[in-house]
Amino acid sequence: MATDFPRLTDLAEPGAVVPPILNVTELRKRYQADGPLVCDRLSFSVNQGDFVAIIGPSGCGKSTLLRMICGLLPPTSGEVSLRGQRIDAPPPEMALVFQDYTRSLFPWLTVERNVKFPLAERGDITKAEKAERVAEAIKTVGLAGFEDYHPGELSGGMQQRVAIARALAFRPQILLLDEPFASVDALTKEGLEDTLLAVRERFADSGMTMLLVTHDIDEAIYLADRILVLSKPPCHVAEELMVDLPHPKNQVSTRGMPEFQRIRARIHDVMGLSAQRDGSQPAA
Amino acid sequence: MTLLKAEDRAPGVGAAASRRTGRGRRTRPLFNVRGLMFAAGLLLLLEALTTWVVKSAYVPRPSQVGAALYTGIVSGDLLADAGQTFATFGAGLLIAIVVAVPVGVLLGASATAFNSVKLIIEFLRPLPSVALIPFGILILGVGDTTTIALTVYAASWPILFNTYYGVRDADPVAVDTARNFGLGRAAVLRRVLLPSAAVNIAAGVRISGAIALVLTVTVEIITSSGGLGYAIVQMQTAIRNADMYAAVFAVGLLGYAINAAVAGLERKIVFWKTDARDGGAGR
Repeated sequence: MATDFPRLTDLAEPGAVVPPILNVTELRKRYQADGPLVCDRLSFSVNQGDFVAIIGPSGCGKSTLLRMICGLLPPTSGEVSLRGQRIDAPPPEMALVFQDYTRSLFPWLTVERNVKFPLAERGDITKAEKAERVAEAIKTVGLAGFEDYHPGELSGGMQQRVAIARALAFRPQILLLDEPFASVDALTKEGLEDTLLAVRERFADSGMTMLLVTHDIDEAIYLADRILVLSKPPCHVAEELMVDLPHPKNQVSTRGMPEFQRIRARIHDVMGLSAQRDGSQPAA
Repeated sequence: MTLLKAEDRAPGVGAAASRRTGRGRRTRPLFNVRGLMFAAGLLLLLEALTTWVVKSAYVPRPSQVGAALYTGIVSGDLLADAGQTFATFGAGLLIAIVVAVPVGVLLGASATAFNSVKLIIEFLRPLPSVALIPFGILILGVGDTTTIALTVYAASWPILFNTYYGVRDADPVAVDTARNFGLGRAAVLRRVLLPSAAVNIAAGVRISGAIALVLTVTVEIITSSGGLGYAIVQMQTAIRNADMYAAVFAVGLLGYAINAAVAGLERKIVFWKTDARDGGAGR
């Protein structure tokens, strides 16, 4: 696969400290001037090639954070920077996969044209390369043969695959995923999780960074190398956990590992879910 | 390597044969047999009533109307009238689409534009179009221009409003998706908002089609400017009642055909809406 951009590690002097690709600094957000704070002094950074999961309780401002990161929503104060450049508008280096594929895909376009959507009017890419990127993205998510279908003719899981393929064809340096598997059933979700790991493997050469926002603890542990646990609103990073699980991952054995359980218990503690787990409240 | 799992496949999808049968999934019968039978029964009843119960020269028997319709078609008179009405109607509806869609898009995309014209629109919209017929005759005289102008006026509103709501209520997630991929305002409008609004625009055109025909025939009746409307007045004045009803019936047929054509086009153009209504293959 052609590498579109050099890795920072390739550019840097050997032994030099590589600056993070994404910096979130002292981020604050309120929607109205006198409204409550959604995020309060939220700071973290992400290195190129990382798979970071951001996890937090429902309504803690995860989606708000993601919208600020990708330049769709301006922060009240603080800043998000990509390779040291402050983000004010959606940067061409990021692609976002939304939770709600039914609203994010364009029902009037075929699978192929949906995937091609971000490239269709770009003058800097040749026609041949567009076709190649689209074909590769569709193949990577396992939808080869479905190019001429319309989203309405596909199952939910397949539609989300189309959304992922579309983001991949854009060749982002950072792939942002906003609860991408929250709207599909459990079995489909497992398949999509493994697809995402395969995607990462596929684009490892180009150092694609992945940032996943989720409320699913197991999903975060299974997928990410690093987990940021957000606090209740106004949110900030309450805990940062490294995940050291062996690759390749397996839906059964990986989830059964002691390390998986250890991280799981730790996140529960941080999120204050322990009481519920002990049975004082019925599990959700 | 294939990553697609079996459970991820939608039922039926993948079978090439099921795809080729079209998107409708349920095949639509060409004729509504039960409806046609009921209509035929009604005509027979009417025939019996006008033969034995209501014996009036002003109420011709369906068979007489049928004969008049046949004569009118064979002689070409009725067809020429219908052709003129259809041409006037078609010109009016087309101009209405060309005018109302861009205006609706502009109003839907720009709150400033909408607020500027809101008052005028709220005043003009409830004004019945037929009330403007005398005004039209004063300004434009009697003729096709007046008929078309009034048809355009009446037919523009549903298209305008449906386009406006379609653009305004486009899904913010779809818009965010496009913005995220670096599309500017104009590109979002053209590639997301306009196609999103297509469903509403098509519905607007269907409503406007019915209104446009009403206006065209009404103006023809009032201004005696030709077409089926004038034929109705002419036959009424000449007390050729069967011919008058034949012309009325022809208007009905024209309206039915127009509606069927517009609805058929709508199913083809905004096919994804039909998919959604039928439940699609998903979930």
